[in-house]
Formats: sequence, structure tokens, C-alpha cells
Amino acid sequence: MPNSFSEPNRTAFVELRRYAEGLPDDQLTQSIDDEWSVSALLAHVAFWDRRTVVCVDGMLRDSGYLPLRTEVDVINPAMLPQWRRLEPNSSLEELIEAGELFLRTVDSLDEETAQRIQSSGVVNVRRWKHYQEHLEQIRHHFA
Amino acid sequence: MANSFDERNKQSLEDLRSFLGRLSDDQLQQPIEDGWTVSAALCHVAFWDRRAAQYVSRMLRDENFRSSGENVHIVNDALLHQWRRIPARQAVAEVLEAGEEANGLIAGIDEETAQRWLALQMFALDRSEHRVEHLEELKSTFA
Repeated sequence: MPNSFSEPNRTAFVELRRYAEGLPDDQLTQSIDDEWSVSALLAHVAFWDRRTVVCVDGMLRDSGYLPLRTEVDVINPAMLPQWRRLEPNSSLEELIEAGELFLRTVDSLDEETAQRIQSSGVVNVRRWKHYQEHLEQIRHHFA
Repeated sequence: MANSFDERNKQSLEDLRSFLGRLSDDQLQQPIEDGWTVSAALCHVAFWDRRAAQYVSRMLRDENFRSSGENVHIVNDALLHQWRRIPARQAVAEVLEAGEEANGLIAGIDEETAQRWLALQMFALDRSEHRVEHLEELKSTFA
């Protein structure tokens, strides 16, 4: 395994992917609370994977580059209306494409580089907690 | 007038609405450049309006609200994949709804408060500049 982040990321992503792929459209469009649907959550997970990839690419191109700490609490509510407008199959496809791209990106890092990026404190290549958090949330909803 | 941005914000949204009313589905899906489509550009405008709306609503609750700022290019690059997936008519609805939300919130701010927030350089209360920039870009696509 290229680095210590690869396997836990892949394991958690595959679990989320398999679960999401098993949901029919009417479950994907179900609301989880007053604001979020299952489909919107998948798009949200995909976005944070995409953002991580863009940041990692930037840091690999320029070792002195450090992205700003992100505005999680502003971006999520600002994007939620758009995440809710995605067709459920599009959210699922985006989850898979973004996740696979993220896994390939992290797999390309040696341990030292992966640790350097993680220790920057502004880019999180330890995505498995995010996958697990939302998988549990969705499972709980359908339990 | 509530503040010096109000009229420009309203006019720019009406100009955008009027232009979009003349575009067909095919035109909305037309590529612009570098992976962008007309529809994706609308989602982009909508997102930055929603972000401004988030800032305004948070600062109305707590004027000491501060955020780290955002890497504009990182967010745009990461979101483009999702913006391309949002159905064209949903993109139109979103840019108009987001514009109404931002305009409505900004219109409620008095001039003194607006100028104080402007000095913080955290977000743009004048939403017209961004809308006009992209409206001109779209107009030139179909010129």
C-alpha cells in the first residue's frame, strides 16, 4: 500500500459506495431532515473529495503552496440548494467519480508526502471519517 | 434606497433573468471553454450569490462572525464537475432564486452597516459585478 491513508480510505469508500449503489431512486431522493436528502449528502461527500484532490494537486505542483483553511460552515449551506437539484443518479455517479479520483490521488503519494499534506492542517487526506459519518447517518435514517 | 448596492443588484438580476428567458435548452447546455457550459456558469454565479447570502445572514445574527476566506479557484475547480451535472433548467431556477435571496438580504442592510462590512473584505455586497461579468461572457458566446 502506497501510504498509511490508502487502505482505510478505500475500505470506507467502498462500503459507502456499495451501500449507496444498493439504494433505489426513491430512497436516494428521501429527505433525511428538513434540509438534506440522501442524494444531497452523496453530492456533499463528493465535493469535499474533489476539493481535497484540487488542493493536493496544487501542493504537489508547488511545495510552498498552502491553501486557505476552508469555510465549511459557509460552503455547505451555500451549496445545499444545488445539491438538492441534482438527479439522484447524478449524485451517485459524482460520488463514485470523485471518490475514485481521490483514492487514486492519495495512492500516488508516498508516506512522507501524505503525512506532510495531512500535517499542514488545511487539507484532510484522511477522508474515511467523512465516509463513515455519512454512511452511518444514511443507514440510521433507513433503520 | 436601503444602500448603494441595492439598485445595481436588482438591475443585474433582472438583466440576467431577461437574457436567460431567451435561451433554449440547447443553448443552456452549450460549451463555453475549459470544460464550462452556459448552465455551469449559471450555477457558479448562483453559488457565489448563496455564499454572500450566508455571510449576510450570519453577520446579521452576529456581527463578529468571521471566516477564513475561501480559495476561489479551488472551490470553482472542485464544483465544476457538479455544476456540469445539474440539469440546465434547474441551473436557471437556481441562479434566479440565489440572486433573489442575496438581493433580498443585502437590501435589508443600511448604508453604514454595508460600508462597515465592505471594509472587512470578506465578501462582495455588490453582486452585480459578478453577474454582469458572466452575463457579458454568455452574451458574447451567442453574439
